[in-house]
Amino acid sequence: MTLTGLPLQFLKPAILAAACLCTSLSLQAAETATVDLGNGLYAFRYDGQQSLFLVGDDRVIATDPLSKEAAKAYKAAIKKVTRKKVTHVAYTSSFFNRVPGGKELAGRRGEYVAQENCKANLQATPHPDAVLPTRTYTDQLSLDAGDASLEMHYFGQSYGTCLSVMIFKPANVMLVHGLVIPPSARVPDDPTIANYYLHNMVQFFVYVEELAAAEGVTQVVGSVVTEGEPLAPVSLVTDQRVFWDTLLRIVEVEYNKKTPAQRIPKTADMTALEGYEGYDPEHVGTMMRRIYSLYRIGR
Amino acid sequence: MRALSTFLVVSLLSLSAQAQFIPGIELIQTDDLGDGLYAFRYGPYRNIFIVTDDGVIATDPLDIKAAGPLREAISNVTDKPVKYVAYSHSHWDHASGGQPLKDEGAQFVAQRECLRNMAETRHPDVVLPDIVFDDSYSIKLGEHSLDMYYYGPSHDDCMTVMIAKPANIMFIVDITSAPTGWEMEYNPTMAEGYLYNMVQYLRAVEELAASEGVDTIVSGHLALGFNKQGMFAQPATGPIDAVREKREFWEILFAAVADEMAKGTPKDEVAGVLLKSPEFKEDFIDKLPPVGWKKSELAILIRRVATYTETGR
Repeated sequence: MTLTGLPLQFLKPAILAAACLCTSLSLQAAETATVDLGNGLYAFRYDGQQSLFLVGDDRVIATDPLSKEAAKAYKAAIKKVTRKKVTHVAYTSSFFNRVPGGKELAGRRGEYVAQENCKANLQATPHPDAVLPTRTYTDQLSLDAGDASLEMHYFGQSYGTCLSVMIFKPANVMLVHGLVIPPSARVPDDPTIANYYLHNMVQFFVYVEELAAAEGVTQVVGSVVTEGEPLAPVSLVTDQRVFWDTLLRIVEVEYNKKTPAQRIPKTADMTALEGYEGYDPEHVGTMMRRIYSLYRIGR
Repeated sequence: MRALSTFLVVSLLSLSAQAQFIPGIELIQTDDLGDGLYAFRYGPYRNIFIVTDDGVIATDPLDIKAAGPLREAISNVTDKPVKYVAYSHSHWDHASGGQPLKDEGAQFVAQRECLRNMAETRHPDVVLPDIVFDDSYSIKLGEHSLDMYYYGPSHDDCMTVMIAKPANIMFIVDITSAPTGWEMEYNPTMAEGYLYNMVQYLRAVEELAASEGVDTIVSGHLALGFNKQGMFAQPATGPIDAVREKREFWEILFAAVADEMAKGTPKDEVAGVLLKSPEFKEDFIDKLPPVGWKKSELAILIRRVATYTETGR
């Protein structure tokens, strides 16, 4: 793993240096960086967001373009690594902070790939800069890049209604956008946990764990930039599942005790959550308000 | 499950006597709305039923505790059997408790997505729909009908509004409330709410009401009013204006959050800025009732809208 050739131990300062350079060139420019994760897999970083691109022997497969502006920088970053063309753009989800800008990456001839519900979402709520998927799948799809491939898997509603779990090969690194973020299991940033389909969350993680085991995945990568190593052991998937399982059970216990929704943050024992990255009692309290509805209304 | 005032009701439910679940407010209430249409309320939850010579069309059974009182309320006005039960949506707090009506032969009707939801997340007290539809469906018994309309995701992904005829009164659950749509959301995280279609949905309901000549709604929850004497129960019916008001609630809130984020304000800071803004106070906060909601709850709702603004969902 290197930042365009630098050993890992120099990675963080080098990213910061790249960011500072960009900043010095233009105060308006977003912070960008490229991280070599090995085996043809790279992370492109833009203003706190992270996308992955996979360089095979005959093409490049890129994930989420992020935005029109980001995609221009993304394409430039890919050009610094390889002269091969981006032929496929794979969407992790249908969210507007991930999907727009594809045309900047792969033009009109590129293939835009997503789970089929993403296409339906983008048709229902179009974004002017988002290219509609030109190829969709239902449960599973493999995109071939010669000696590398991107495997996409769908396990039902989780974070959004069309989230693809991605495995990059031969790196054998997994990406679960929004839900699994190295270096450690964490509390989601959004206390309202909007678009989190709680009724399927734990089962979703179980499927991901089973997939990782079946495919021999050893590491996971995130979709946002965080402090520390860009990759984490695949056990992070289990750690994050345990987080959700723990949080849901805490609220379920209170619900079964008939504690009113607004009182649950005051009465629930949050001790088991205190060690998680991003833990804040008020933040988790708001999440509990949302989770209460899972038990009251079923969703 | 939506109006904030409903929360107060739910909170007090366990503390109060059975006959009155809030001092001065009966636990169970049935209103004769004319033309064979009745509104039934159990605690904070409400449904409607239509009595015809050929049987009864009921709506949301509410829950297992309400099932007996609901059947009794129907029996108090007719000895006809319940032929149909129409679900407004798939959430358990409105849709459970229908088994006694199923046992007497009622057929259950819902929008297609409700069946998928109910089958996916099973509840022991929820009867699966027998009849499903995509866009609209009319349950007819003699000269009466209950017309069901679906306009895409809103409070959940299968919510329908219903018009009882010939009373020509609309039954609308969780997406607005009588007497006014200017009421804080019960759950400010919006749980399963589909914000991206909320305005369009409500606009479609406004157009439906206009085309059908509907000027009155019954909402799926008791709304509380507040005066110098304290709390009181708002009537079961209210003006159709509540639909437009709720649409405006969302439009103003969405625009305020989007404008603030366009200035570069981070998602987590938008609420803090808006809650101090004189313009937002005038445009939005001053339209809410003076009591019965908290700024901390509105801050959560604003944070939810910020995510919608960023992600489109």
